[in-house]
This record gives sequence, C-alpha cells and structure tokens, in this order.
Amino acid sequence: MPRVLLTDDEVLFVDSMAKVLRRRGLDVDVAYDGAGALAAVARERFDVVVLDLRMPRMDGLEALAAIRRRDPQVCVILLTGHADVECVQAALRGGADHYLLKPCSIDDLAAAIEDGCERTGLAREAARTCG
Amino acid sequence: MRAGGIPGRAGRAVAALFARLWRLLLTFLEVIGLRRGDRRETSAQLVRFKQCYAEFRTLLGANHDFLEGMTDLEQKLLRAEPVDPAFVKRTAVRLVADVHRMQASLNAIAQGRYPALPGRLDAIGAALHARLGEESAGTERGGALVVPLAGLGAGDGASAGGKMANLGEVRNNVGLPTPDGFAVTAEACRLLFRENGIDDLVEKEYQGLSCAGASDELSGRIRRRVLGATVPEPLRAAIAEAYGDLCRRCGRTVRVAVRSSAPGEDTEMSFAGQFATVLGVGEADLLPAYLEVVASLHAPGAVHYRTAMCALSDTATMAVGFVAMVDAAAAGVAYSVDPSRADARDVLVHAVHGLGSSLVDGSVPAEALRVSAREPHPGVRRESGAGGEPCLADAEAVELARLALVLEAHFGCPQDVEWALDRERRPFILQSRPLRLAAGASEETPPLPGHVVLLAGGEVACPGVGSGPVVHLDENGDLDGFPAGGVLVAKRSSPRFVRALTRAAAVVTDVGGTTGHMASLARELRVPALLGAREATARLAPGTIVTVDAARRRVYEGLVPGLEAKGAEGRAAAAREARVRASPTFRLLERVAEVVVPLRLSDPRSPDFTIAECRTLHDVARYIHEKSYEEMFGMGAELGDFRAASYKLDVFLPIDLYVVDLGGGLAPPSHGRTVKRRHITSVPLAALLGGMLDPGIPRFGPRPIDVKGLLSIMARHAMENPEEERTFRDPCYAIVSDRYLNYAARVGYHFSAVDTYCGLTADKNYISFRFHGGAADEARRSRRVAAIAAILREHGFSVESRGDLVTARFSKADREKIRAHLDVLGRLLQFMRQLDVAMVDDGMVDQVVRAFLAGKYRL
Repeated sequence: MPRVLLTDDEVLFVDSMAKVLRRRGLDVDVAYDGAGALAAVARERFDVVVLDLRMPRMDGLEALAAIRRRDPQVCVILLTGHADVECVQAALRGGADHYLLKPCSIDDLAAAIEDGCERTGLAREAARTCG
Repeated sequence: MRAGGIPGRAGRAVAALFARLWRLLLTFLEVIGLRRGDRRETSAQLVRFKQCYAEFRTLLGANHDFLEGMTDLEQKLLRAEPVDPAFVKRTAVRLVADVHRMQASLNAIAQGRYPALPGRLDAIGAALHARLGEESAGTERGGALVVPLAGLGAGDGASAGGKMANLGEVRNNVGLPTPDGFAVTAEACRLLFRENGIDDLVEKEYQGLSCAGASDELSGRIRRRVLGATVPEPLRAAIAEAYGDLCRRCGRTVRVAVRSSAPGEDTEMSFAGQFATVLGVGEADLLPAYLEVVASLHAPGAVHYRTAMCALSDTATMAVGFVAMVDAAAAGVAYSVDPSRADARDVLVHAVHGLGSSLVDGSVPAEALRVSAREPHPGVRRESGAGGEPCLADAEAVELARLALVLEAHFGCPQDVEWALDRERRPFILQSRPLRLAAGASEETPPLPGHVVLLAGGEVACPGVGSGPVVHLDENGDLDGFPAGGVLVAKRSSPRFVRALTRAAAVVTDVGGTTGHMASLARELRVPALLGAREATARLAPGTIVTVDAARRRVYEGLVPGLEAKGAEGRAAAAREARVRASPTFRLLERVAEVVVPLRLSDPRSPDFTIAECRTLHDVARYIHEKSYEEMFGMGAELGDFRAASYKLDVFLPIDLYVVDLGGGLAPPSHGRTVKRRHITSVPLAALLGGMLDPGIPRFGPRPIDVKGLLSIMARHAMENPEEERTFRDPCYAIVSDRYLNYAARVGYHFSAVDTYCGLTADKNYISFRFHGGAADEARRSRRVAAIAAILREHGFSVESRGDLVTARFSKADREKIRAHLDVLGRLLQFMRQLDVAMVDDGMVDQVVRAFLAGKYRL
C-alpha cells in the first residue's frame, strides 16, 4: 500500500484529508509542522510527501530542502494556499515535484499522489539498478 | 607506392568485409535463437525508459492543464468578463507551475540537455511576478470602504460584489430606475476580518471544508466569530456617513434592504438564495445586519453550494449592498426568455402583491403572465392568477417585459430580473442577473431562413461572423500568399497558420479544439474560428463565398447580412465591454496575459525556434511540447538490445517484433516470452497491427529463412552500405503502455518509426510518423516519398518531406480517430514495401496513391 505523509499545521484540515485519503486505499501518516515531517522522513520511507508551505518551526521550503537531502527520490507535492509566482518557482527549483493550490479537489490531490507514487517507485528502482 | 597500395587496401577491405560478415552471422544466430545476446544493461534501460514515459505523461498532462488555464484566461479577456484579483493571481501561479513541471520533465527525459530552459522560465516568471506586485499594491491603496451606488458599474464586481456592480450598471449605464443605495466593499470586509483576527481562521476552516465536504460545525464556528466581531471604527464611520447621505438624497429616513453582494455572485456562478438578506433595516440595526450578511458567506447552504460547484476561493470576502426599501404595491421577477421554451421569445412575468420576498419563498401564489415580445402589438396572456385583485395591469406587464428586454440587450444574454412597483406604481429594478438556460439552449437558435447551411457543428474557438471566398490551405501551403478576406479552410489547426490568420476573415477546420495553439492565436487576432467541424474541407469547396457564424457553429452559403449584433445592442454591449476593460483588475488580467499568451514560436522549422526566443509562457510550453516528441521519438533508437525485457510477438509479419511493456500494454501468458496478438492490450499497438495485418495487403513471407539467400543479401548489404551494417541485426521494438506506442522498425532498407499517444483526452493525443530509406535510385526514392506524403495528407496528416525523409503528424483527435489513423499507418507500412519495385516512372505516384485510397493494395 502506498505510504503517504501529509504535513499541514492546520490539524483539522490535515486529519480530515488523511481520513479521506485512507478511504481511497492509501496508507497515510500525518505531521503538523516541517520539523515533524523531517522526523517522519528520517524514521521511515514514504512514497509521497505532501507539504504545506507556511508552517511553524520549519517552513515548507526549508523542510523540502532537508527532505531532499535525506531522500532524493521521494516525490514531494507542495499543497498551499499561498498563490505567489516567486514562491512556486522557488519550490519547483528546490526540488518539489508538484505544486497544488488550495483549495484543491480531493480528486486532483489523489491523482497527484498516485502519479507521485509511480515516480518515486521508478526513481528508487533506477537508483537500485544503476547503483 | 601507388601500384603496391592497391592490393594492400583491397586486402584490408576484404578483411573488414569478413569481419562484418562474421558479426552479422553472430547476429543472425542470435536472432534465430541459437546464441544469447548481452543483457547486462537491459533492466537499467527498461527502468530508464519507464521513467521517461512517466515524465512524458506528466509533461503531456501539464501541457494540457496549461492550455486549459490559458484558454480560460483568454476567454475572460475576449468576453470582457469581470474578474477577481485573486483569480488572476491563482491563474498565473498555476500556469507557471504547469510550465515548470513540463520543463522538469523534458530535462529528465533528455538527461538535462535543455539547461537554458529553467533560466528562461525564471525570467518570464519574474516579469509576471513584477506585474502582479505592481497592481496589487495599487488596488490596496485605492480600496474604498464604501461606494455610493451612483459610482458603480459592471467593472466593480471585485470591490462592490457582483450584485451591487450590476445594480450600479443598471442605474448608471442602462439608465433604468433602481432604488438608491451604497455598497460596503470587499476591502471593508477584509479590514473587518483582519482587525478581528479571523483571517486565518476563515482561510483554514474554509480549506478544510474544500477537502472534507461541507461541515455545519465548521461553518457555525466561523459565523459565530463573524457575528461577534467588532466593526472597526473607520468602517463604522463610513457606513454611518453613507447612510446619512442616502437619507438626504431620498429626502426622508429610509429603511434599507441589506443584501449580500459577494464577488463571484451573480457573475460566473449564481449563488441564488444562498446568502442572507435582511429587510427593513433602520439606522440602529445597520451594523448587526451588516455582520449577519457577512457571516452568511459561511452559512452551511452557501458553503455547500460552493463545495458542490468546486468554487471555493481563498479570498472568501463579502461586499454588502445597502439599498433603500421600495414601499412596494407589487413585486416579482421577470425572465426575459422563458427558460423552458427559449425559442418562443416570450417574457415571463411573475408578480405578487406587496414585497417580492413572498414570491421567492413561495408563501403566496404568484400571478404568472406571459408577454409576447414578438408581435408589433405585444400581447399579455395570464397563465395563473394570484387570487383576488390582479397584481399587474396589462400595460404594466408589457412595460416590465420591455425593461427585461432592454436589460437582456444590454448584458448580451437572457436576464432574470427582480422588480418592484412602488405605491405610485412606478417600476424599479432591484436586481438583474444572467438567466440560466438549459445547456445549449441559448445556442440553439434556428438557422436564418432562406439561407443554405453548408456546415454545422464544431467547437467555437473565437466567436464572431466572417465571410469571404473559401481558400483551402495546408500548413505547408503558401501561407504568405493567402488572400486578404479569405475564409481559411484546413484539415487541421496548426499554429503555423498564423501568417494566413492575420488576413483571414474566418477559419474553419476539420480537426482541432478550443484549447489548441491556433485557437489561442485566433482569439488573439479576433478571427472568428470554428474548429473541429469534421467535414469543412469536404463541404466547403474552394472559391465558394461563405459566411461563417462561429458563435452559432454554422457556415452559410453566400453572404448573409444581419448575423452581426444589431446596431443598438452592439453599441450597448460595446459600452459595457469598455467599462469592464477600464477596471483595474481587468487591466491586471491584460498585463498578466501579455506575459502568458502571445505565441512567437509558431514554426518549429524556423531558426528562431529556440529557447532564447521564448518571451511568454506559451512560447516555452510550445517549445517544450515540440521537443518532447523529438525526445520520445529518439528513445527507440537509444534502446539498443532489449530482448531480455521484452516479449516476442508471434504474428505473420516479415519482421521480428519485440514488445516492451511500460504498463498495461500487454496481458502476457503466464510462461514463455512469446505473445500473440490477443495478448496486446495497448490500444495504439493493437490499432497499428490491425492495419499491418489487413488481409487485403499482400504479405511477404515472414523473415527469409533460406540461409544461403540471407547470407547473400547480408553480404551485398554490407558491401554497399558499410555504415548501415546494423540493419539486419536490429530487431524491431514496440514500446507500449495501455495508451502509448513507440514503434521503430528497420525493414530491409526502410526505417519507419511511429510515436503515438492514444488516451481519452483528445488534446493530448497525437501520432508522429517518420520514414526514410535508401536502397533505390534517387528518382525512385523521391517518387516513393511523394506517394507516401500524398497518402498521408489525404488522411489528414500534416506532412513534411525532404530528400528521402517523410515526417508526418496527426494530433488532437479523439481515441477513435487516432485508432483509425493508426490503422491507416499500419496498412501503409506494409503497402510501402512494394513501392521500391513499383515506382518505375513519375506516373506511378498518382496511380499508387489512388490504389491505396481505393483499398487496392496489390500493385
């Protein structure tokens, strides 16, 4: 079962989203800030990490960079209400695979996660066969 | 020296020939299964290919999203639709993200061979960011908290909300009577939220709802916070002052109706009845009424409606209208068109005694009148009574119908009008908004009588009317020689037509859609365009004078006057448009569009088709899209030896075809590495094979198995084409998924390759085809190329040929069309094998083309 980490400082939001995604057959873990996300990624391997951009303790871009250092293959999706061109460019240059704007339909998010799982799987396989 | 050199050189040549023959023999043994090839790289290659394919799919998806987003933006510009600044910002961010993802995917496929792309994209993004920054600073500075109705018009939807902007438009620009009043703006709402610290709460709760469905509990929490908020002093003062002014203008102490006027309400979406209205509000209750209406932004019904319409916005703000109450003798609604019978052109008027709210909530039976607008002396038919005294006299009903039609003409679409008659029986317009008709109903106007409709259907890429002589053109035709005022008729849309578009009166194509590049160019140039009309080239003969009515998806024979908007209506619409275009948000949209939409890179063959020439997001997207085909095309050749990861296809064809499955393309048997045709689940491969195995096409035996014969062919080939010595070694590969095929085959001296995507979204679908080959003299080669090109063109491919190379593309068609065209390609691939022998003189070209088109495949 694909393993997904959802990160958002809005507890209600992240918990309700996790519930919906679990119903769709995903194995979902949650974190409530960037540091928590990083700790989770250090603890175990995920197929997809979903990050909010604005979070306490460690914001999304910082968390993204730290996650990339730890796991170069995992697919990272930024899900944010922050509509800013500079921000989206910084995030995608910083190694985010996808940038979704809130509000975003659960179908779009699920599709991005599904796509992300495949990418991560292939990246891991490539790292294995080449390395 | 010279004399001694010749035998030495000859000796080396003989040795080289033997070495080559030996390698070919090993290959031959490998092909027939007596020797095993080298498999070390195979699995790494397969993974790489799967990654490329995943990236390619991402790229196509992002390109599709980009074109959709851009089309939406263009449509708003074209129709001068009022927009919200948040919409502009979000659209810009989405478009940048789409193109960025395309860039990342292309570089992943091409292993970083486009290093200049990220920089170019950043520069365009920075320009976009700067434009967004300037404007938002501007709107924040000028954000008034309260605006009197006399200062409002259609362009003010973002600040005063849809309803009040609309009422201002009716009062100030249509010149119809409305009650007086003022709007408390969205800026005031933002101030209220900010000062009370409920900004974040609203945003967060809201986002939670969008993903988890409407929740009464969450909505209740926000509403309680809003109802308990303190109205900031400047806003309190502004409302008091505006109310005082209103009373002075009316000459009495008025009671007001406090109504929602949310940005977005009454424009794109009708939030009919979702938000609160408080009637009969006196001075003491202005602020509580204001808060109640603002809080209704998050009423369960409103939230549910927005969630259902997928319309949640991060700028949940509410402008509020304060409108003097009309002391109504009668009130009601008028529909400028009967929604159930749009063709009848009757105005429906519903009326009740007193205030109209009893009509809306259905507590009092309404009087229903049907006013015929068609006759020179309009008639009134009473369909049901309200009981007792009639609410309206016939003349009053006719007057209200007239007002509804004036509003329809002004706004350019059927209207749903709320009205009231005061005690002196003077009419007032309380609200006018677009009437929702059943899907398609408004377009289903009958064709003009007395004119022949040559063609109907297609997609409206740019509305409008244009007439002139039909000129058929394909994208390789004489674009610069296109006559001014001609109607361009083409098999398929292509951005290369831009040079002809600037002179065309209208465009009609067989294939193409509203989200394509050409559709975008047509909108930019305001050329009426009807794309995907299927039979345009067949039904519109060159030279015929036609009139294209793009909006109604019809092409008439001859000149048809009177299709354009009529004088007065046209002027009113133009005036409205001018006002919307003058609004700051609309200017922002235009400034953003300048960096997004214009397409400079229209021709991939031009030397200017480079990253450095990309000026807009559209340019970058187009560049990446074009290059992605090339990269995927090259993939098959990069493959090398791949048999270990593939299945050999057991079909009666003179090639060794191996299938590599990237996902969903094969349902192989549980053991063995051989598959039959029935195991193929790849839609495009099945279609191509269907054509190749067409029983009408003469088949050569499978591979020649006469070893002596084969060796002699190999020897001759190796001597004649030392650089092509791999020819017989390479097996043919089909790299497939359920919807993708990359096929590369070298058969004899012919090389042909097909790259195609055949999914459910027509926009993403395409077929790319490439053919070249030697082994014939110059004249035969060029005849062969001419025949192949002609056959492909006849089937709607856009074709280029140079020397003995033919490339062809067919795109943006639905799955069935793509399948049909792959079937044609399959037949052509097999048919072509006879061409070298057949092409004895130039006359054969025509004969061969006709034979193929007639289904006579045996030459």
